[in-house]
Amino acid sequence: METLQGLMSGFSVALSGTNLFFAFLGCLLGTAVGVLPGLGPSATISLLLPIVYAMNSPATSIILLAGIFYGAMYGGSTTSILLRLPGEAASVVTCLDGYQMAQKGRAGAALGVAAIGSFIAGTVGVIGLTFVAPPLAEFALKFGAPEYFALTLVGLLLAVFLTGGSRIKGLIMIMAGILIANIGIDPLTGKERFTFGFYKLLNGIDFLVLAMGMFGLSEIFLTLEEKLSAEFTTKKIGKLFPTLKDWAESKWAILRGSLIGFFVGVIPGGGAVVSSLTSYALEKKLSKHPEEFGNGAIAGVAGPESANNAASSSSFIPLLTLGIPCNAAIAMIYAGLLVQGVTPGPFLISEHPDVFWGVIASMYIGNVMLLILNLPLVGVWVQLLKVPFGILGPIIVLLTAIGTYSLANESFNIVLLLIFGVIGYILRKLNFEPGPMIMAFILAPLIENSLRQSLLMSNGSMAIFVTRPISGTLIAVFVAVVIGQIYAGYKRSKKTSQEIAQ
Amino acid sequence: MSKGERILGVVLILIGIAVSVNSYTALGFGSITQPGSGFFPLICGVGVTTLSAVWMFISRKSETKSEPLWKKGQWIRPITAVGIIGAYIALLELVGYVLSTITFVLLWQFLVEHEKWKKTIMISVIMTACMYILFVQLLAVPLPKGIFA
Repeated sequence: METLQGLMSGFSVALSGTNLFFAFLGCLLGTAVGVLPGLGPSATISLLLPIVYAMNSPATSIILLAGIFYGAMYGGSTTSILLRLPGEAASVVTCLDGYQMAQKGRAGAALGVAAIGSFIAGTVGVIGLTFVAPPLAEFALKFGAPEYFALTLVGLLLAVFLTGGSRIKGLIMIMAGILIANIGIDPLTGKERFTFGFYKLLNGIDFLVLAMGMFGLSEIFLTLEEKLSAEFTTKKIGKLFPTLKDWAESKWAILRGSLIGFFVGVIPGGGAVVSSLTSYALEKKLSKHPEEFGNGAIAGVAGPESANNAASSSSFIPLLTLGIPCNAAIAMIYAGLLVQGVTPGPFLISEHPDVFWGVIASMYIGNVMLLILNLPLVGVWVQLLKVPFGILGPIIVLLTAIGTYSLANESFNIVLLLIFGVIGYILRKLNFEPGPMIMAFILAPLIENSLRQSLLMSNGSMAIFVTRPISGTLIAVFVAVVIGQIYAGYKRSKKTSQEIAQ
Repeated sequence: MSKGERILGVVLILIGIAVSVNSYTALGFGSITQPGSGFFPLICGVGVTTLSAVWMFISRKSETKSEPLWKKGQWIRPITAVGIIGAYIALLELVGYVLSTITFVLLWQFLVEHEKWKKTIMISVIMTACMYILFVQLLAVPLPKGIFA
């Protein structure tokens, strides 16, 4: 009952004129960046953070940023289907069958089922969020320093272990992120750390400078390497509404995708990309005609597109209840809230109910807006690809430069931005993903303080993390996941070596 | 392991060592019951060094994947862009926002995109005007005025 009351109050926040406008703006921008390859949701949110820094309504700013995040999931499918260009990472798998459908003249059905599936899954995800988040937040109130240390550590490590990239590189990025966060004055002792004598570094490095450099600028440098030439095949899109047969083939895929997405989205590092891949694999396995996958199976579009939307909703759960961002884009939303004096975590629901319920209610509304924005207007979005990178690139650079400058009216920040941009560019070229670094940077104060406090509590005994029930369970779960992963990796390598032997 | 990876590995190991030494000597480890400022950085410094060394050791054999960091001529546009942004930063406080921005867009269109002069000038003027209206007039961001101050 309390949940429904909260949700009602959330709708009264989300339905105010300003918030409706910003939810719409977020969905619009989100769809646009979803369509544009080479500009992901993380980069866009970092571009908009300076505006959020200047807003003085935390509810409105999180509504805007959330809209960009889940809006991008809708937009990403459009270019995957029409041009085989994934607009963002979570739509890569949609290219497989979506583009094949478009080749066979069924682009409209693919786009339609992607949008409808996204809508259903997004809504299922928000409903789950509505009912799971409040009890979880209440449970998290029991957490003390050792629990928080275990939780953040396990969260970061899972983010590295589950994303599929190189684990050792991910771990290095986590440590590097913590070290960058350590620059400046140590709040506990007042000692200067790694300032190299620059007084401008005393206050530390702002999250925005790091995020814009590692995601925004480095992405520009990477894109400049290739001469992008998007070819426009003006194919007929065809009827947008799926036929009854399409619907019969995709309804279960949409529902399964929604559930997979919801559960995978909650896990740190899981998120949209992993959930869409998992859903695709599952649909292929369950299908009566697995040979159709890769040749235009509609379930291969419906499942993954649903999964990534459900995941984008449910990845707000750890943020709103535990204060743990589980991917880079959510970490940016976390930063946006921190700047406004709102600390996401178990107290959010009681201290800032307008933020907590407002963003949840806005997600119901946003999903309806996105369905309307994406289904009839799909042709308009494709036109966006005609904006040449020669125009887009310098605009993004100028936005990042002004954004970082305006933090303290300090051009030193642009110098730092450029440095991080170059570092990010080189790291990304060598397959070091910046995601874990950004997450570690924002969580570093929490990890360090909770570790120091725990050691004070326990008189220096590390056993405190294992003997307390909640932190002990968390660590046990993590160990189980790691062992499972190593076992799976071992089995896979055995299998491939057998295959080679044959 | 490619040359780029080897260089990065060595740089990471050296950074890790420098951080660890600085944390231990200058910042202070404290004690396990009362951790000091250097306690956490030391853990991370040692971690970066160890992990980077392990990474270099594991991937030392993957010679097959040793591609150069840039394919032929691929570095030209990104590095030019870095240079232009550097020039922009240098000009910003000196000549103010409007002049530095227009120079930035001119250089970008001409050197990175190889646009023709006419189009370059048109894009630069329009883009600078839009940025000025958005940030100075609408959002009232205090930007350096430079010689117009």
